[in-house]
Amino acid sequence: MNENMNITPMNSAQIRQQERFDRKGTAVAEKMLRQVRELSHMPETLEPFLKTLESIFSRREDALRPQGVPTVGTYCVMVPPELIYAQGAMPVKLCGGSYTAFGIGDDIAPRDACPLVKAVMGFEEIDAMPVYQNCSLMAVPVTCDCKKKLAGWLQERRPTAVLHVPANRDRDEDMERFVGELYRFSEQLEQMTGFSLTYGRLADACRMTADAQYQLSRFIDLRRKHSRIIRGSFSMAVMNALSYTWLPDWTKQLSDLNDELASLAKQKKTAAKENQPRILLTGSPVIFPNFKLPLLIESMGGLLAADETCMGERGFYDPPAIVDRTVDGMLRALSNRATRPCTCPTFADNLRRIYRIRQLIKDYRIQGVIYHVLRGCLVYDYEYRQLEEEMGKLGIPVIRVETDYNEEDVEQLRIRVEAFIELIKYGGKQE
Amino acid sequence: MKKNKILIAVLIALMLAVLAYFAADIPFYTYPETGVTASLQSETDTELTFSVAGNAVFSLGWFEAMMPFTIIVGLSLVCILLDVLLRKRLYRKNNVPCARTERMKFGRKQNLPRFGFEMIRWSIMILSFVLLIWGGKILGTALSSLQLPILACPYNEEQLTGAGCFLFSNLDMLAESSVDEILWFAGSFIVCAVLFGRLLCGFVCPLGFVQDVMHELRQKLHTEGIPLNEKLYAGLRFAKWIMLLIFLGIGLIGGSFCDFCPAITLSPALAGFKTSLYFSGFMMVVVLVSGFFKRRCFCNICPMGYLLGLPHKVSLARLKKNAVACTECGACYEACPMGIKSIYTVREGKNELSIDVTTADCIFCGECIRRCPEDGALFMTFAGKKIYTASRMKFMRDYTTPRRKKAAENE
Repeated sequence: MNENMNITPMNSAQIRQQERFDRKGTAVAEKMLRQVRELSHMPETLEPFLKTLESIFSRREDALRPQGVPTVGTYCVMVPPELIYAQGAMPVKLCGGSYTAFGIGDDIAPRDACPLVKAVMGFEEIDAMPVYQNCSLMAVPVTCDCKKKLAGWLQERRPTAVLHVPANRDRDEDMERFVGELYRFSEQLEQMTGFSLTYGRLADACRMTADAQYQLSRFIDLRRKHSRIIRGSFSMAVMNALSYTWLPDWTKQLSDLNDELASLAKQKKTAAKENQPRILLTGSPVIFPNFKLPLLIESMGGLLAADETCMGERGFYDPPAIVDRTVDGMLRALSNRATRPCTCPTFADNLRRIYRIRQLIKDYRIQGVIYHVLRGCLVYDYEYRQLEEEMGKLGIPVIRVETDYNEEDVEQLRIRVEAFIELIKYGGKQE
Repeated sequence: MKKNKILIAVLIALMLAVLAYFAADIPFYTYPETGVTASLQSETDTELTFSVAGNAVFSLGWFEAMMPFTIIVGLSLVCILLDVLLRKRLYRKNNVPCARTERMKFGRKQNLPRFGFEMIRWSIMILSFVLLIWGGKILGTALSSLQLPILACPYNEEQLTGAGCFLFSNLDMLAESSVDEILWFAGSFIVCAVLFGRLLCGFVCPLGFVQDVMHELRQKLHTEGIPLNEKLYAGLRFAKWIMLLIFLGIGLIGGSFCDFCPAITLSPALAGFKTSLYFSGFMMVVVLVSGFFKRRCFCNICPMGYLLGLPHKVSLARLKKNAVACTECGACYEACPMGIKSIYTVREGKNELSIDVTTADCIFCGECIRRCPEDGALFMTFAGKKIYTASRMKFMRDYTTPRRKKAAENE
């Protein structure tokens, strides 16, 4: 069966798959959204973000954007959105979290490939998601092994830009090589949109992302100062919605949310009780609709106070520090931002991730760390050991949770998460 | 390969040394000897020239004195233009002419400068630039025995303070001068160097100011610069050693560093002293052009700066880092005009939350802190007091669309 999958005219298997996707694919997304909405203390201004997720996954619409703007599918945080906006396109993050698409991708990818890539391949196979199908260009940074093969696989079907990410970054040339990659990527974008890279356009785009990141910084600042102001599941929904929203719209929505949170903070209202354990979620990306883990944490009486995942806050956290106000200077800043501070474990040297988590623990007064590992996500699994050791020194409990893209293990996970939260709440030393 | 590199390095060093030695034989712009030229050869001469005050600003004599500097600026502009054009021809990777640029409407207004470290630094630099050039005229020469360790040329007799560079590069003359003078020199030089160190480079030195102006000019023009990486910085470091050797040794073998030093073209001319220029004229062109493409390029090879950096372990200004908050984003390294890489790589120290990352190269321009996006990851202390701390919000506001007051209040 596998050999016939790639032939373009729809065969019966594909039709069956599409039917299955129509039946089940949207159901999971709707269920997850319903669960998010059922959580208590949802800020009113969160609704637009959930609407975005709903329109993409449930109603299966394309990303909202001005007329005539093509979309570029991006796969990792290393693809700078500034560059894409500057050249007249809109980036959408396409890393998949759909269980149904995973099921389809499962037949194409090898058994041990990670579910994220399987989901992407599944979406690619069935012709049902306009966000995927309407992309004019795919940008895949070569990060982990699965993404590397995905890049090759996509290249056969779609116009794809493969960005070579250095595996190490202690030498300056590593970063400078990525500047070259960005220039090449920019050429591909220019062929697609007809807009060349000029100072004015890039400066405008950088300002646009800076506005969004300013709001994100406000959001982070609010959460740091009032660690119980908003539930982490909501925050993850905000960050996931970013992937499919035209950036100025997202900035506006987040600005409204910030205003509401600021006023809530003034009234001393909180989304959680004082004794709810504050949990940090880190590890493999948590991508909508795979909100299993954040929802479990929050429904079992924990508070997801912060996350360190690349589809969460981390994905948009680092701002480019533009030192040199020239095209080259800005590209250097973008390249610098994409490589040096990135805590992706695909880099060989990644001690900064531990430091980053330590800082998060301090900022949000974290009491426990849940380490999310997607089955087959080796690079994240590798770093668990190191983190466990470090957390042992700090006296912070850690738990490694391995899941796949299905709902079969939810009950098992529930027991483990519950036990972990109880452990923090009642066992061990109290604050 | 390695052998070749050493050979080239030695050749360059020799060339520089020979140039420095014969600098006086390469005239850039000379005035006829009939007039009294500024000269510090002996004490009697000093008194003689001192009676001939510099020409008043905008007088005929001043314009005459400004002649060589104008030529230098003109030459530099030609060099910069040539470089930009040549580079466009050599690789046009991002200078592709754009057919039509329909701008997206995100607002193009520039953010207004805000009060902060940056503004204070610029005010002090401008103030000291004025004082070190016309200070004597404005405030009298009461402080002239002070010998500041910066490249403010002592050929300008009307500056507020003296400059220690002259005696340092003419160590033989230092030995011959009176005890009084030696004490003044040693006292003011050493005290300033120990207390302030290279803070003087970043805040006071007029040559540094001129380079910063060139840098700002490039920022306004959005012209592509020459970004340096560690290899190129290593080259500059080598050049610095050569410069230091020349600086200290040339007086002993009978040359004069002043004929080689770029600072001589600037301050005496602006104060209205007619100073004949030799090789230093060409050096100044190099300083201006390199300063345009690479911020504070000359500061990287400045021998005076090196001497000032020596007591960096005890000087009052310190740069510190919170290693846990640092994300190693390298923004500080990108921003640093001196190419100090250790500032973002260092993770270990006595106190993780406040590791001293001050190095001998640091000129305390504060650029790293300004470009640091992490709250409190980098900060500067002066005599134990925190004077400048990195902040995410301040950082972001440098890049966002200018907003009205109302929005700012909501934070």
